[in-house]
Amino acid sequence: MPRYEHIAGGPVAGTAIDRRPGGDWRRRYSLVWPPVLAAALILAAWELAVWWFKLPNFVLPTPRQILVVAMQEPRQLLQDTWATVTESLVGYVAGSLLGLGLALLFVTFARLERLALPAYVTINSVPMVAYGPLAIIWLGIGASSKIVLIVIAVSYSVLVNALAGLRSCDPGAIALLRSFGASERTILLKLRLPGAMPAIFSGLRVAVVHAMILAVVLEMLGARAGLGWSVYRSTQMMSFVEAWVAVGASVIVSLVIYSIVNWIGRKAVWW
Amino acid sequence: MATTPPATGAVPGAAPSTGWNAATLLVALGAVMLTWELAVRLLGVSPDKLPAPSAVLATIWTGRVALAGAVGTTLYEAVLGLLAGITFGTLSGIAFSRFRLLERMVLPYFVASQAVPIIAFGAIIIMWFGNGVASKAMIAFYLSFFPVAVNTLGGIRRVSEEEIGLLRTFGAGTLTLLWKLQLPTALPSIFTAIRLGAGLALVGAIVGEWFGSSRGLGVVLLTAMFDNQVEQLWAGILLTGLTGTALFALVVFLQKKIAWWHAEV
Repeated sequence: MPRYEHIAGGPVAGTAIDRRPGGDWRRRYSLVWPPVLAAALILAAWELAVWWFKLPNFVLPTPRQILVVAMQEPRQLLQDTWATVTESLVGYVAGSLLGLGLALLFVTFARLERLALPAYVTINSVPMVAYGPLAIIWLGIGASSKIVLIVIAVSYSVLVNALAGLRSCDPGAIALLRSFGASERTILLKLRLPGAMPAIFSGLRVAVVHAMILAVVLEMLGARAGLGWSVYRSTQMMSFVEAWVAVGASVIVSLVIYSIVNWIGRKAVWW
Repeated sequence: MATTPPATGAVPGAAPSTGWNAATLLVALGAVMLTWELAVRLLGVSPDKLPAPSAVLATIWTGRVALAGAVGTTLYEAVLGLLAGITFGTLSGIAFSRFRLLERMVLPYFVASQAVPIIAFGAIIIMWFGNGVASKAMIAFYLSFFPVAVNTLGGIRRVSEEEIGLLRTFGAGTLTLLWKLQLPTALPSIFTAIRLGAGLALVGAIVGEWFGSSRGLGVVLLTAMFDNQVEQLWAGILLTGLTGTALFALVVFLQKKIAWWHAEV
């Protein structure tokens, strides 16, 4: 029983709150104000707690202090953000293409799947972060060690989801197309692939999260630049506010990238 | 990789069913090991680059006492955090289901937390809770907490009005309703989150150990990296995989025992 759960669900989309457009503005408004209120309350409580208990900023800096420090060295912050974003996006795109290509190959040549999939499953049954130190030894502390691991993780998520999607095709529809004399390739491209799109996109959505997390976590092991590296460096140098800045930046960047992938997915799989 | 997120199988067709079971996986594992061993021996790969599985197993056997201690420490941290995450996650899920406003205020953040590297907060947790077991358990806790809370709510929401109405006519109170109807309905999706959380908790413990610790699998991996000991590193990787698989198998076992009526594994 390979561990597919973390691939299966897809994190955010459609869980408890479904922010699909189409409701009237009143409904949307009623979905928007509570989280905004919560954010305001939390920020206020945060500032108040720091002020009331006189917490030093190595225990808990205020949101304002974090913003101020973030603005002090925007170049450094941008550089780190850029490093993390490029690593994860390059790995993400390459891994998605690889996963999709492998899925199509496996569906076409079943024997290949029996040969290669076990290796893939075995490699991925170990949490990917455990390979981090090995990747650093083999490939150095540059971007390539992060990208390779991201490619492996992402391609696996996409492969497993795409395989499930390609397989879940209605056999009746296949028989119908075949009776019209459609070739296997036509069936794959016209029937299976469109049918698999929702599953593929749910794989892509999970994978983008994997990519960001891996980039940040692996940078903590050693890197030349990046948000994870910035977190590590700051904690080692006891500049705690900077650690908060880097953590905050990685959260914001991930949300932006995730929303973009989610948006593309919705446009592409409109049905 | 188990770092990683997500919750409910809300997307239809997303759950891949390849029909693999433990036996096929073991055979696959054996085949991979054999190929690896043969490749290393026949191609004469330097052990500094890629040691043969036999060499890795020998390394594990030589250092078995220390390695067992490392596995124990990491497992302890992860399980401690996971148990806390399950408890508080389920309780928050129940709270969300009762207080609509609370759900609307907080749940969006819970859901969003699964799309971002909240594991990076681990660095701050270590600053707060120090280098001991508590800080790693804390990281494992919050990583597993969010998916459990989200899935508990999702599961409770799956109960239909008719079912509630039926029990109400029999005079069931709120607590009976929760205990006899809502929680049992939610159990399968709670377990889905726990399976996910088990992997996250392990990763959380290991990454937490990177930030500062003297014991555990994360320390084994990190020291092996600094000392350039590839065999030791592979031993750590292998043990991490085994620990994760064992933890996962335990959760699946419990699911079959506890939620036997809905054991889709």
